[in-house]
Amino acid sequence: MRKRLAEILAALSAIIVIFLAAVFSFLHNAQVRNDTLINTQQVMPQSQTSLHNALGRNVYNKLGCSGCHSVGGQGNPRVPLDGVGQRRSPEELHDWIIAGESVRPQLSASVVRMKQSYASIPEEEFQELLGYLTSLRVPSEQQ
Amino acid sequence: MKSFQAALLWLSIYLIVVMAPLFVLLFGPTPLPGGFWWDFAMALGFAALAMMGVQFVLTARFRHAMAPFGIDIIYYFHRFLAVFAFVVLTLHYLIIRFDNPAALGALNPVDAPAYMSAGRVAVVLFGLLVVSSLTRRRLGIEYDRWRWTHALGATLAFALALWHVVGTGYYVGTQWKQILWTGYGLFWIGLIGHVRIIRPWQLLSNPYRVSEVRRERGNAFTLVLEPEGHAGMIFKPGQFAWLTVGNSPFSLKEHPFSIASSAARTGTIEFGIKAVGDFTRSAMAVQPGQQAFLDGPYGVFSTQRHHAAKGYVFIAGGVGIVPIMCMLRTLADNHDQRLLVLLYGNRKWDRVLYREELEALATRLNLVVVHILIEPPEGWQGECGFVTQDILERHLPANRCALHYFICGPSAMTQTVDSLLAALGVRSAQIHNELFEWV
Repeated sequence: MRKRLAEILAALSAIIVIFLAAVFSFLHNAQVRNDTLINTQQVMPQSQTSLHNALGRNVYNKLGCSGCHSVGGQGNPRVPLDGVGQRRSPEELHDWIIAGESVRPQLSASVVRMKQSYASIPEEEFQELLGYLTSLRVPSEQQ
Repeated sequence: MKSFQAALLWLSIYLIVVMAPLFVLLFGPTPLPGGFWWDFAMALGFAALAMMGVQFVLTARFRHAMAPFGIDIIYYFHRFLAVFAFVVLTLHYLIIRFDNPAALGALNPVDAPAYMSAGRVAVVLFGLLVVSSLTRRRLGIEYDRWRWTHALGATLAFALALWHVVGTGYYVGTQWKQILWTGYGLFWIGLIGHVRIIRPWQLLSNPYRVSEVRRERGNAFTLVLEPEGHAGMIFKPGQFAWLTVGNSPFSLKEHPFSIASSAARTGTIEFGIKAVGDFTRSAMAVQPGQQAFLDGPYGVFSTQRHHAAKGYVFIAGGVGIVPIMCMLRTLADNHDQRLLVLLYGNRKWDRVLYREELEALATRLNLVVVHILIEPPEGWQGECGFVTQDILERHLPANRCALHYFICGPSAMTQTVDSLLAALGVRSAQIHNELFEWV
């Protein structure tokens, strides 16, 4: 009887925990739903067209950029890169990739450490990555 | 009703401890939302870590906090919760795997960020901990070895999971949130320090000495301990303690055993032990003079918690008689004259533990002893087989619904008797049992 009660309580705890996790997600997404999610949906088609830059995309994948960024809804949705080629100049993108001095104050120490390691990748690959990011533009900007 | 309210209260406390640190993350600067499934997966990850953290407190043996429930049930709760916490953890991974596989990045630890690999290793380790605990007996893993690896593996897995949370930095981007979650995680790990270092240290100042190892019927023996330099342990009849013999209390070579001696006598304490497991077999070699340490007493399986009962019925199987013997000896020392019935199941007559002493106790107490044998000797006139409804109806008194029942024995017997008593109209609040075979 007591064993059964322990089993039921444990199962009930887990179910409530899962429910509360869903509530957490709902509340968090409800706060800024209008700003972000709609933008992501709008740029999605653009991101797909950017895939022509295959070499740069390969470097992006190889470095595991999708652990922190998303393109076309794929990858970590926290920091979407869709349209980044429109928002940032190539010089700014260069600094953002390697955590240059101009952007460093906006980043946490662990992110700075990670980004600084990208300064050591071969120049050719770096340029391919930069080209790929520059090509990420919103649909209205496309030719 | 009282136990239902207590269960509800503790469930609420559990949920607050597990979920409050997560909801606190919604205050102050928050990261951009990543869509329902993304943030749901993240919340499950945080919740799983918190659930795993609380697992440490459940086995930290806080005697007073655990007293209302009994530590046996707390260990079962720990066991069941581990399974469900692992389900939550697996959901965290699977949702990202299917919803957004690119976010997981490279699997190869050479290419992947260290905190991502830490998370993956933590999932595998937690899985191994759950599986090895549920199947220890079937896999033949020795208890002491399992215990060491379980404690080390759980600490390592938890530390890796914490690294994963802090490393990914989602929601914990601000300093105070990072401190909150790192501190929250380290608190649980700190509990291990309490259990493995501070508590053994306290036990060192209350040592015991083995004064006698008495052979009993049925491949069992009584271990008699004398306190050294202190008054000994005060316990309730039916309780148990973790026993360490011939090793340091830091050694983790401790095992729970029921106290057999009377709670009315302080000082010398006796344990009834049957050689069935890997430790109990080796414990047969314990010699008088060896040092011992006791962590206890624990347990709620006690007549003293129901002292106003009109009488007691004890139903024991094999070595399950030990805590009941403790209760009977205590009742005898207290000159109790209430109605007592003992239904005692064993395989063979010559293996009936405490057989002669039970006969003697029946003369001092208002006690009826009914032996039930699976393999009775020739000419046996008593009850045979297992405890059945017929046997209960034959031997239980007319006022059976007013009595309290204490059942101790193999799980199958306990479950069967539970159901039989319920069918006879005994309320569950009057049925008490001690759960064995935690791992």
